[in-house]
Amino acid sequence: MSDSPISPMAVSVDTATAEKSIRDLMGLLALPALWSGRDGETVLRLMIEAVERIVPVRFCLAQAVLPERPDFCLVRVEGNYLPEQVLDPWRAAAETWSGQRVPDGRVSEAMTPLRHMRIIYLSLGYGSCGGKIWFGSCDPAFPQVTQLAFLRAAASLAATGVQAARANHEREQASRAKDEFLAMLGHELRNPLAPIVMAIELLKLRSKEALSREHVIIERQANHLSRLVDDLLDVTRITRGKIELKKEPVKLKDVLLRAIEDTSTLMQERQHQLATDFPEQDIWIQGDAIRLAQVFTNLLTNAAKYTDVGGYVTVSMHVADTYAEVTVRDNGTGISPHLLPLLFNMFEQGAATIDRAKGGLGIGLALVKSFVGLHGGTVTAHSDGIGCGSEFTVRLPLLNPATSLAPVSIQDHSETPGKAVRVLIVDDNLDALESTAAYLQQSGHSVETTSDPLKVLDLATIFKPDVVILDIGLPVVDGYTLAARLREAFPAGTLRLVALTGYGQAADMKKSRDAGFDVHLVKPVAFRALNEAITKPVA
Amino acid sequence: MNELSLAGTPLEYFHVCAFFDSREQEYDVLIPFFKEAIEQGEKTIHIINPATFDDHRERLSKAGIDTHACEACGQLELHSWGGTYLDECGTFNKDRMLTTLAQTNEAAKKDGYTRVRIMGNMDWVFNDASKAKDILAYEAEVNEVLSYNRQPAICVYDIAKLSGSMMMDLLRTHPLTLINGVVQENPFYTPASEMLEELKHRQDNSAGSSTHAV
Repeated sequence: MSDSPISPMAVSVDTATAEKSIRDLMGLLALPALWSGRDGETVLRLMIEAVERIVPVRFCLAQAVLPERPDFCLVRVEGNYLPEQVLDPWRAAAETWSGQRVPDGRVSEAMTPLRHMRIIYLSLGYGSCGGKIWFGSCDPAFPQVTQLAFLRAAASLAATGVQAARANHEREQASRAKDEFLAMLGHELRNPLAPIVMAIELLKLRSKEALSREHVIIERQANHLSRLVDDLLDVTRITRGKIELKKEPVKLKDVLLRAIEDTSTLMQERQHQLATDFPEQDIWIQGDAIRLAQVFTNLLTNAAKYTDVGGYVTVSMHVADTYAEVTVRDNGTGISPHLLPLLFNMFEQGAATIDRAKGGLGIGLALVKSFVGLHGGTVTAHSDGIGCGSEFTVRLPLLNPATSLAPVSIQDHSETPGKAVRVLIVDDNLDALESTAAYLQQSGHSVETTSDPLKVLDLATIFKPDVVILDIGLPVVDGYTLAARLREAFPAGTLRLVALTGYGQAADMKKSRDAGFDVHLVKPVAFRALNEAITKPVA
Repeated sequence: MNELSLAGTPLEYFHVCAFFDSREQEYDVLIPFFKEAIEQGEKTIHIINPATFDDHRERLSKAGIDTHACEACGQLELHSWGGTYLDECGTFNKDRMLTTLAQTNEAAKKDGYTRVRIMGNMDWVFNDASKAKDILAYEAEVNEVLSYNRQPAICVYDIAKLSGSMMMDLLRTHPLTLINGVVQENPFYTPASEMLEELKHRQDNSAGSSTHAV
């Protein structure tokens, strides 16, 4: 191996070549626009491809420490990337070249897996974030001084690009970890909430008189906490792109009436007068009735909260072109002009938001915007300023009249007591176990319980339940495994399996179905839903 | 003469290569260019993916352009890739496109328009590279046609679809570039004759290496 240093000072370049080189370098400077937001490998690929257009190289070999790929190696020969399975000879060659300790930017004669060539080594950084790149050519004049300048500039830009990509990756990972933590927190909060809500329900069932003031407070605050947890989970789903809508033809008036009903207690407490202005004809849209109800409940809750006691709230609906427009208007505290543009931003509202001013997570309007957007609609806010009231308008695309309409009932509120059955409940959260058992006993069912999953099969054999309610996140043996074992142990059609869990995504439900569950319930579950799950025929 | 500006910069050249990260960024930058043309009574031709016609019209309308009226009177024309860049077989035909551009300019002049502004979405180039072989030669040659007619044209490329070599070639064939919302006279611009010679050289080399490989 022989070194032949190029001294830029010793080489004269004619004006035309110099001008062309400057033009090439200027073009190279545009390259980072391409790799904004890309990963380290893409940055290196784009740089190598750009270099090929300017400098006639036979091969290029890049090695870099990339996130989760500490031994990354990329080889391009005569305009084609080599597949991973043929890289070993190149890796070995690179190791040999590295051992020669040729200085950065110095040309040398070296053996490559192709043939003997003139190669040049350039650093992409040193240490845990570093990398190396070699360019090779059979041209005895390689590299000319202007080519070397270009290669240096390209390598230097790529090194910066790879570092930016790494920083980007680390930031995304941190953000993902935060989202996952929030999602986990939401699920974990549901577990202690479930027995609290159930205990209150049980108190109401058992008591012949109205609940005491303290119990009313616990009930109200537990419900409030449930809503906060639901919002928190929705936020994590939105940020992770995991919101799933169940779109069906929906009569918009039904959705609005449901939202009005859900907020009626708050409206009464605040002594507001609520007026509605709905057209006579039905307005249909294609949407998820539950999520849409959430949208209008959020808007009505805000109107109630941010209007002084004894205020006026109106809900109007009409058709505009191919859209349904719903407006929620109040004569409350209004919105300052500087806050208006930030109103629907997730997490960015800071202490200035209207939600923050009265507690809460400050995410209600962000959820409204996300849900409306997922329906192909828009939401806008208007206020003439502080003290001038607020107006929120939701526009949703009308359902194509050609689509057949099958009315969707939002929720059946009627109580339909079923027959008494034998229920085995399995949960490692003792409070949840006891409160669920107490409720089902109160409802006339025979109940057996255990918090030990290893005892379930024996207990089931003795107790012979009609229904087994299984928590999923059990120690040692999880609910899915237990369900499969119970299915094996009992003849088909003799046992109903109900999953009771904090996880409620479509994927979780599918997993439950695959494991043999008949019903999947998400904590905290209302008693009515629990009762239906164990007594009504399975769909 | 009417104003001619892009991204807040007066244009002195007529062939612009615009790189965008997203459609939002694209329309954010190009809408004022379109509006300037409409307000000055110039002819505007947009050559786009036929699947995006409705979306394109909606974006123009939202920006305050009376799309329906402009199309009805002929001031705004939307063309799909087929019939302009691409022939009946879906192949790019350089000479046909150059002729079409020249004819478009002539026809617009006859109709009394002072200028024709063209925007071409170039995503079709990435659909089937084998049918877009002449695109770089076209980009090099079209400079002359556009300069001669003083006819501004913006070639819109999606950054996410470009390779490093393609970007370098595009930079070399356009005297003006628009990157990250900034218009710059492109010092890297290579005159058409020089670029065509290089392309021919590349083609010869490629044919030579294929022969050797066999």
